[in-house]
Amino acid sequence: MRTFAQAEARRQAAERQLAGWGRRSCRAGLAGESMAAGADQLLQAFAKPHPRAYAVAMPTTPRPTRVTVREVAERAGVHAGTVSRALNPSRRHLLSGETVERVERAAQELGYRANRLASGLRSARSFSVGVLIPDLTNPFFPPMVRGIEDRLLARGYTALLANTESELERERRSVAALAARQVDGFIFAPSPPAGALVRELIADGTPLVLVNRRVDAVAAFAVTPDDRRGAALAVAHLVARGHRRIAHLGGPQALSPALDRREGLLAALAASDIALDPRLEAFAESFTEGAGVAPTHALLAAVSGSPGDRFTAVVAANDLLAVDCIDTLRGAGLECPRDVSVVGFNDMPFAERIRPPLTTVRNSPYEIGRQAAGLLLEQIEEPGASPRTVVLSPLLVERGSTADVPRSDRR
Amino acid sequence: MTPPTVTRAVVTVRDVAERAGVHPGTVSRVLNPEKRHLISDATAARVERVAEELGYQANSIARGLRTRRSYTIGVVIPDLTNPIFPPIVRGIEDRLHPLGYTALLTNTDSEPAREVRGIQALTARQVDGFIVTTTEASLDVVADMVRDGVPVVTVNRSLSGVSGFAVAPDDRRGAVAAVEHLLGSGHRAIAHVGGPRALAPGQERYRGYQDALREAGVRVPRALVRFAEAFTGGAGVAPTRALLASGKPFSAVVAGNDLLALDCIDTLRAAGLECPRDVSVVGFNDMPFADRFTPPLTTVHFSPYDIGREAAQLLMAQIEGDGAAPRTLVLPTRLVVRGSTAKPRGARRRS
Repeated sequence: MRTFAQAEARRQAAERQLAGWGRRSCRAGLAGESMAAGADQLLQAFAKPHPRAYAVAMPTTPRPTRVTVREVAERAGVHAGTVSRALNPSRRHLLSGETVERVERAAQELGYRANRLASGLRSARSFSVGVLIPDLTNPFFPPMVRGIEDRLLARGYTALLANTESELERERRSVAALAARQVDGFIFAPSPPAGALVRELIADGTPLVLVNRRVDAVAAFAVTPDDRRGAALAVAHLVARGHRRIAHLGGPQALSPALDRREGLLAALAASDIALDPRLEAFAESFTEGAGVAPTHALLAAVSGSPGDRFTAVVAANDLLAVDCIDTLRGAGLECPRDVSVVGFNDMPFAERIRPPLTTVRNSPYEIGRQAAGLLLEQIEEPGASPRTVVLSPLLVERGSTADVPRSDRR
Repeated sequence: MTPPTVTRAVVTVRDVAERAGVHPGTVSRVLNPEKRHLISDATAARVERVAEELGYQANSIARGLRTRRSYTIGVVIPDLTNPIFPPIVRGIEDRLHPLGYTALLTNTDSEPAREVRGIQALTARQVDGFIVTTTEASLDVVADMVRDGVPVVTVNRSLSGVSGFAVAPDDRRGAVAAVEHLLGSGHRAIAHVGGPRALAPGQERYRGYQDALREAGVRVPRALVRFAEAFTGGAGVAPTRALLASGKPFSAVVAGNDLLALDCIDTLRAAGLECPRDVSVVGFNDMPFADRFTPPLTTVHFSPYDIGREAAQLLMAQIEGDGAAPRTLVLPTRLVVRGSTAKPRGARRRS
C-alpha cells in the first residue's frame, strides 16, 4: 500500500502539471488529445482518499466523482458552499427556496450525485490562495506576505495577492476576482466595514484566516500580535527610563490594532500610577506615512501654553507615525531622543537604519504570515476544525530613539 | 458517470484557446492573416484544427465587443520586500481601478521556480494581461508570452532581444549622473558594485558607469568592477568584499541599487572604512527612507509610482487593442545628493 505521503506527493505533482496546462480545460474533458491522455493518467494519480480514511487502510483507491460541487455551483451561478447547503437536508433551510431549486436543477442536469465518501473530500483544489492586504506600501505587510508564501510554497500552494487600500469596494471586488479563480481560501486583513464580507465567507464555508485585525462577534481563524502587551512593553520601557509625561500618538480607532494598542497603553500607565493627560493624546487618520504629522502638531499645540506640562516621550501606534512624529518634533526644535523619546510599533524593515535608529515593538510580520498560512492549510486540508486565534508575543527592540528623561524634566 | 459537457450557443476564441491549450491572444493571432506569421507553424496548425473541430467562426462584430474579459490582470513582482515595488503596484492599481480592473499579484522572491509558477498560476486563471518585472528566470517565459500575443508589459527592466512593451527608468543616464557627481567631487578610483548583468538595469547602469568614465578619460582597474548575484538586500556583501580583497585602492562606489549600496556601506564599515569619510557610495532608486538613513543616501531618483501608472497604461492599450507597435517608455532619472558622498580624503586634506 502506498503511504499517504507518497499519494500526496503524486497528487501534488499531478496538480502542478494540470495547473501548467490550464487545469480547467483538462478537468472539463476539453483538452486536446495528447493532453487528455496525460490528464487521464494524472487524474488517476489524483484520486485521493481522505487522509484519515487512508490511515485505516483502504483496499482500493476510490476515484473522485467527475461532477463536483464546484461545477454544480458554476452552473447554478452560486458559491460552492451554497450548493453544499442546498443539498444538505439539515442546512437547506438557510437558503431561499428559489436558490435551492436552482441548485437542485443544476445538480440533476449535470448528473451530480452526492457521494458520502466524496463529501468528506475537498474536491478540485486549485492550490492557490487569495491574500488580501490593506496597504502594500505599509512596510509591515511585505514580510508578512513572505511568511505566508514560504509556508504555502513548501506545500505546493501559490499565493495570489490583492491590495485593497482598506476600501470595502476593493475588498469585495478582490474577493470576487479571486473566488472566480477558484482559490482554495483567503488570508485577509479586513477593513472595519468588511465584517459582513467576512461573515459571508465564513457562512459559505470558505477557508479563511484573519490576520492582524479582529472582526468582532465572528468566530474565525485569526493570527494577531498581542498588541495590548506590546503597548505595555513600550510604556514600561519609558517608565523605566524616568518618563512620566508620556504622550500617545494613536492610530485610527476604527482599526482593532489601534484600539488594542491604546488599551494596552492605558492599562500600563495605570499600573505605573500614571493617568494619561487627555491633552497628551492625539490620533492619526490612517497608519500611513505622513498621517503622523497633524496629530504631533496637535500634541505640541495642546501643551504649548504650559511648558511644565509638556511631554518627554511619545508612544506611536506604528513606525511610520513614529517617523512622522520625530520629523515634526524636529521641525518644532525638539530633538529625538535628546528632548523627546519616541517608541514605534512593528519594527518595520530598515527601522534600525534610520536616524535615530527606532526603538520599537517588534511584531514579527513574517511569523504572523507563516502562522496564518498554517491555519489556512489546516482548514483546506482537514476541514471541520474549530476556529481559533493564534496570538503572537511582541518584543521591545531598544535602539536610539529613546533615552533617559532629560534632567530638566525629572521630578 | 459522464463528464459534463459545456454547451454554448456560440463557440468563442476562448473555447478554441482552451481546447488548443494556448492563450486566447494566440488564437486571435493565428486567425488574423496579418499576424499569423508571429506564431509558430505547429501552434498555428493546432489552433486551426481545433477551431475547425469546434466550428468556430470568426465574427468581426463580436471581435470588437468587449466580451469575455476577466477584468483582472496579473502583476508579477520579484521581491515585495524591496521597497521600490509597492509604489509601482500602487501606480498600476490607481490606473486600473477606475477602469474596473483588479490586479492580482504574485511575489516570486526572485526564485526561478516561484516565478515561473506564479506566472502559470495566473495564466491558468485567465487574466487579461500581465505586468511583469522580469528576472533571469522569467526572461524566456515572458518572451514566450510576447510571442504568443499575450498582453504583457515589463516594468523596470526592459527585455533584450524581444520587442515588447516596457517601461523603465533611464538607467544608463542615471548611472552617468552618479559617476559625474563623483568625478566632480574629485574622485578618480570609482568602483562599481553592479546588479546582475543578465538583467537590463544591471547591464544599463554598468554601461552608464563605463560611458561616464570613458568620457572623462578615467581608467579604473578591472578588479574594481564587481557584480552582485541579485538586486536584493544582502547580495551586495560579496562583491564589496571582493573589492576590498582586490587590494586596489578606491575612494567611491557606484552601486547597482540602494539595497546593494546599503550592503556596501555596512561591509565597508565592518572593514573599518566609514562612509562617506573614507569611501563615498551612490545608490540607485531613492527608496523610501533613503533620506533618513545613516548616512542619508546619495542616490538616483525616479518615480516608481509613475512607472506603475505608465505600465498599466501600456497594458490597457494592448488589451483594448489599439494596435500600436511595441514600445519602451523610458522615464527620466535625477541624482539626489545627500550624505553618503563627499570629497575624497586626499582632496579634503589638500583643500
